[in-house]
Amino acid sequence: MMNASEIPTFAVVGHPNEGKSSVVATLTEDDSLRISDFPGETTVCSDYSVRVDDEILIRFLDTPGFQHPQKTLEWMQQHSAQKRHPAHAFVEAFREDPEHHHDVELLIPLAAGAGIIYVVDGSRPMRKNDVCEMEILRMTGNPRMALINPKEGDDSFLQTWKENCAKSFNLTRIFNAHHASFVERMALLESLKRMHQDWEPAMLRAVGIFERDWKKRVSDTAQIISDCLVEALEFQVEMFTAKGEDETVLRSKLIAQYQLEIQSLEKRAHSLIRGVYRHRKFRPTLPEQSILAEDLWSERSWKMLGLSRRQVLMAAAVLGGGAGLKLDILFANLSFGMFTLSGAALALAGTWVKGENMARVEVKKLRLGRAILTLGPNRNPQFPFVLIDRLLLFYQWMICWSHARPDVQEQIQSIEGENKAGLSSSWTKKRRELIYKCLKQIKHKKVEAKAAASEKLKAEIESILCELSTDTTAALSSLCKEM
Amino acid sequence: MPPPSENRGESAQQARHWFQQHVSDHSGEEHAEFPDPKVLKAWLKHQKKQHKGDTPLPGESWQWLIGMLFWLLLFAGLLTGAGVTASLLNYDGAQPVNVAIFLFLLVGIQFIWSFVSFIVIAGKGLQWIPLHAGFSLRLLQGLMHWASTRLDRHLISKLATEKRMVWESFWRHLRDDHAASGKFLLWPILTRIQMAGVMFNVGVIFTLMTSVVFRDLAFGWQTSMQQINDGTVATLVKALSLPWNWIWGEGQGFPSRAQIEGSRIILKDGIGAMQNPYLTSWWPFLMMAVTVYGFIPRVLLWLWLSVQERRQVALYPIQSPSCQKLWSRFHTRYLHVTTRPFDNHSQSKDNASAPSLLADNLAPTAGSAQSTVLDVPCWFYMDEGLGSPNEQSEIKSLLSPYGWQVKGVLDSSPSDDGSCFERFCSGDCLLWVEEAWQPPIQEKMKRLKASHGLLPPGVFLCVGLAGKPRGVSWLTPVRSRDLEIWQKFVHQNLSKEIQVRALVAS
Repeated sequence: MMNASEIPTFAVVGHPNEGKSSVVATLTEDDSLRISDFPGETTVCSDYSVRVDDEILIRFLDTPGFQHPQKTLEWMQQHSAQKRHPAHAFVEAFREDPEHHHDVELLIPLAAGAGIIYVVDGSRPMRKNDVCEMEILRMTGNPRMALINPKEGDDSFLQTWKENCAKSFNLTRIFNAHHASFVERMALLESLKRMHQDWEPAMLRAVGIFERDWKKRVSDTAQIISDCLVEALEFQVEMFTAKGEDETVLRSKLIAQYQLEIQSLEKRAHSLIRGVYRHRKFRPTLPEQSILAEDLWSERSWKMLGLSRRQVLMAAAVLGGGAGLKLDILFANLSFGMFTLSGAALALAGTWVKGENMARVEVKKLRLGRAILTLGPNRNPQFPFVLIDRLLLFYQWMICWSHARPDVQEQIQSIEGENKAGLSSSWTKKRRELIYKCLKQIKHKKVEAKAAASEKLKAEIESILCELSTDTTAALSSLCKEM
Repeated sequence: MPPPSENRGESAQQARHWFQQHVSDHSGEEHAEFPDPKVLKAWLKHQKKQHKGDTPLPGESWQWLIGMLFWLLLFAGLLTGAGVTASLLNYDGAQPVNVAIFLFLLVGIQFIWSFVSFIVIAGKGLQWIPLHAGFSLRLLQGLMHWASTRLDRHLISKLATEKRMVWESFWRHLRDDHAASGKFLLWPILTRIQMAGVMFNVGVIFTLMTSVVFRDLAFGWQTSMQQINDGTVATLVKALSLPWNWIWGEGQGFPSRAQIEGSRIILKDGIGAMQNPYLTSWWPFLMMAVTVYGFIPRVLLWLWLSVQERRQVALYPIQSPSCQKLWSRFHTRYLHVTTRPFDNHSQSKDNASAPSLLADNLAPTAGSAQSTVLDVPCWFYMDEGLGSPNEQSEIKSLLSPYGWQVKGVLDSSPSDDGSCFERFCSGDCLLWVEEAWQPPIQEKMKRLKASHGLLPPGVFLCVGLAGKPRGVSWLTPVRSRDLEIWQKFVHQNLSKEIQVRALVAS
């Protein structure tokens, strides 16, 4: 009967509208599952396999909800004397009965020996039907876990659920499918291995693969963000003018085009990050209050994101001082640190005076009265930090966006107030300076230096992303407790 | 006058109100077992008057459709008859029109068709033949079945449950309506088809007449068989012209033997050898043959079907489910639920009588909350598992601040629902309490359906919904989405007669 030695297979079962499909969608990161608040959305048992290449690691089976819990239990109790698996006997007896279609579909995987993940909404009271369902599942004898999914966040019934689930299930966990982070998902998978000893190696392997996959995703995202920054920093637009054309109009056209192109770069990066985190079907909607919903060039974006003026000046001074220090060393320190001080002062002054400037429009006259107008690259020291902040916020939002819920999540984005609220302003001094240096070097003409700077930038962004995913997890870890 | 109706209860409320105003004497109304056809007709008349100019009523739409079909078939019949005749009467002076072909196509086939139609229609009318028997109807049914299966497999099954349920309900109603009223749709269609047959003959006669008057025509007959000679043809013609030869005799109503002999076509001799008076002698016979064997049978069939159509409508079974439903609406008190500002004083007064149940006050602060009001006494039934209070007085005191007048509390289980309901009187309401946040699973729906079927006539069922318990209180406001889900499930899967209401409005 049990196929436990084969691929770990888990049937996600429960009462209708308890969030079974949401759990499957979150665990498999599949946003194509049909999820609705209208009960009875799932009508057949569907297989959602997690694969690596063509190899199936784990199978999650999404099932319809119990439609006749009392009658099913009654039938199973009456036929308990039979030596057959009760789920199997029920399926055999009611397979052709259209009225019991949902119950049969639910019990088919149990009859085949699948592990049970019983999903209950912990924010509602327990009723007789729930007791019947638990008893049915207990009678199957399959390895089983209760997953308390507090849909509405009300924990007044949680204790009752915990106590009752402990009586009928090998394991009980609280898992909010709509808020589960990567670490919570991994923790749940880890605990699944304890349901059946034979599944342990396969589950351990699966968790290892998931973790490696997550690291790869972080690395890919870092590459996307780094590429976007490099492209944005080097980006420039050109426009030809004919004789007699108003240059002022052309300048404003050029600026508009530049801004639009940079926005497109940002959007492309968003789309790529979305793909990395497998949000294929639903395009997450940005909350209205979100700073991400603001235009990249809006005053609010620049006010709230990026570094403070002091932080920029400090970073510039350190960078200028560093260049001077090299000269001091060259002169065996006979200059008494004059170059270091001068470099820092010059960089400080330069950033102070020109720091607010955006990209400059340069005009190159051509023959026959024609000219070529060039805008970019952007020299504003704040620009890459504003962009990086926006991309990091988007990343943070993506990893929190549940595959089970195609609506707005309220975390992260409610940035209000006068102070800097982006991520870059809270970085350590060392990190700020390192990134500032990388961004400066990216503008270098030497290809090798540029490549090295890009590599360093990517590595630093990757470590930021790792920290962010852990921080987000820590903030939400209270939702993932094992009993 | 009842207050403005709410969504699905509108038709029930209107029916009840009309009945109270126009038929019932407002008191002691008796619930007759079978609907009174006069009342039903009066109600239909009232509905037609009421909805004049609004969205077309189903009857109006049907009339319009059948009217369109009538004109379509009328013109199609006329044009086909005229067209076929005109092509058969094609004469260019080289070869006369073949009388035998004309007779076979426009008289022979028609007569056989009319005869078969008569047998089939008479068989269906007298129920010798099943109503939906017949190749064309079977073909149509097969096509419909094929289309609905494909539609279900490729489209409906892929819809979200909420939309799928609407479709399934629509199909179910369509099937039920077809089973109840399908035959009433059949007769008007058959009548219109006969009208097309009549018009076909009119087309033939008209074309033949105009061709005779305005064109040079020649008719003749030919055969290769030695056994068939002028005498045989003359005998046949005389036999066919029996119905009218007592009015118009030989040479007038049908061709004489000499005329028949003179109009025989021998191709090697050519038309030049034939005399013109003989060649034109056939048209009165042809005209009369079409009239007698084509036109008149069709007219008779049409008249008979028209009579049959009226007879069938007059015989509409008033015991049909839809009539019974309407009749039940007339006699069922409409559960009228309104909202009113919550009265904090009465709440606190009742708290004293049932302190344990209302300790955790479910109602929001005074003024902001609303409660529901029921203007009829009800029997209270609460499904197990709600931690339901057992004492009748407790339930009464608990519900009375919300306007629900509890007449009695039922302690029922699926096996003894019937015996519990025997205590009910006409006009009672069974208030069946469910928790709105629990999904309406099939097991619950079946129980509800069975109970609805067991209720004595005149007793109506109301599903009263409670919200999620707060503390020890189960009587809390219901989320609008939960109410909507329950209404959809009950109305689409069970019956629109069952009212679904929140016990405490949100």
